[in-house]
Amino acid sequence: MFSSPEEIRSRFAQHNFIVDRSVSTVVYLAIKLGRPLLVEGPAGVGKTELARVLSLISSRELIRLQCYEGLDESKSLYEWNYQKQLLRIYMDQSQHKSWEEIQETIYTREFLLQRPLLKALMAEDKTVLLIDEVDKSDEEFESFLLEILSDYQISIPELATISARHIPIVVLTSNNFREFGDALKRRCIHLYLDYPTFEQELKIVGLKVPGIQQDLAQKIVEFVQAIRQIKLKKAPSIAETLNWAEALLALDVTELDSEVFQNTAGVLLKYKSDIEQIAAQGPHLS
Amino acid sequence: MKPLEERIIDFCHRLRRFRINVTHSQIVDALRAVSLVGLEYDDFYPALACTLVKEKTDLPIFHSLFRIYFNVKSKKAPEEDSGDPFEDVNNDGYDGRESGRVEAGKAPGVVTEQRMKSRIEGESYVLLIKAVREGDYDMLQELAHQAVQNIKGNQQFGIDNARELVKRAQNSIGWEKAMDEVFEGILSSRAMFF
Repeated sequence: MFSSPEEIRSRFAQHNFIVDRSVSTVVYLAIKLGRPLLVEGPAGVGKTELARVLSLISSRELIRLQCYEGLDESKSLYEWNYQKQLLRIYMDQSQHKSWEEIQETIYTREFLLQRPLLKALMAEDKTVLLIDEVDKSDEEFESFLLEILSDYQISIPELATISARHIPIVVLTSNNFREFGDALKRRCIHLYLDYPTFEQELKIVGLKVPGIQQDLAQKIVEFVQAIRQIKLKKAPSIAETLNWAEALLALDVTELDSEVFQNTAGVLLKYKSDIEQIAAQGPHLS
Repeated sequence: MKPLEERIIDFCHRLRRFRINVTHSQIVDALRAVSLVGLEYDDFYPALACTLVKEKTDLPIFHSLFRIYFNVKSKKAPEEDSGDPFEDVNNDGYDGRESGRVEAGKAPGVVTEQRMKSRIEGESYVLLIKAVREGDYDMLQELAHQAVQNIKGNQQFGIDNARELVKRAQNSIGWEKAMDEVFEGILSSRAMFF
């Protein structure tokens, strides 16, 4: 599919997703080794975006499973369509069918509700399976996930054992919300995605906020990079840099001073205490 | 010199001694990964890191062990390295430059030479403390080797400034910092008895 890490990198760039060579190398290896790719890093550095762009450049459908506490098999794998089965039983009853006959009709694929994991296994075409924020799910789900990601098959007792037609490209993301299991980690190829470097972020701003003055973009990125070094409740993500740049562009701002910051800080920082902290001890603004 | 596979396996064993738990299947993955992407620094380093390191907190130790083990800093391959698959790499690929990613992993922002230098010292000093505490003579030897490599090239070797050179070599691997910490540890453990 991809012949080299460099190919992935340049295809990513075509979709305005700027990464280092080493990032594309890891993505390339995960695909070539047929291993799930576990992407870790702070919120807003593009972990989910990576999966989305990967599906675009590989022309595969993106199937997404959002994890949360309490996520279970019926929400992630499959569920029987209980209401529909009941209706069918009523129908069959009126035709005086035997229980054996009824049983045979209600446990068929027609009554199977496919959830993301099963959908990815049963898909006709190749897919990218994104298991987002896997650290938010609980331990039982994790071990169940490990099983699926080892064999790429599941057994539905009433139906059959289903093996994947195509092994999907699996991307798992984690914010380190919770330390999760060693076994699952060992199964994966690891990618630590961090905030972009100054040069990369400047490039991203230039690409995503066309029309911005190079001079202003540089000041914005310098400022954001500097405040990421300060301990905040929520450091600004790339998206927030972009929003801020767009806001400043819309306001025709040419010079970044403390008044401009005060008026627009809400776009960049999401907590009042963060804004106050930066205003008091952040990078110097004229 | 050992073939590449053996060196990688050796490297994995060394990681284990530093409590980075590497399983057999991870080693197999690492070997396959390297065979897929080759020895260019920007590929070789992430190939080993993404298959062998499972905890972000292990990355600094991995990073400095990698530098020592695969001689990243030295421009010239050591003599005994002739016939080693890394020799070519040492000559043209491993020029000591860092990939932006590695740097970004710790401290995003503009990478200054000073910052890079202090990071390298910072990591070596962790290794130095560990080596002293655990009596790891191989490691001490490798660190000494690295220290000498660090000061090579921009220094004139002579008897006169030998003391100065030793000092520089020590500084380049964070000697002072490590010794402070080691002695502090000894003092505080003694203090418990009083």
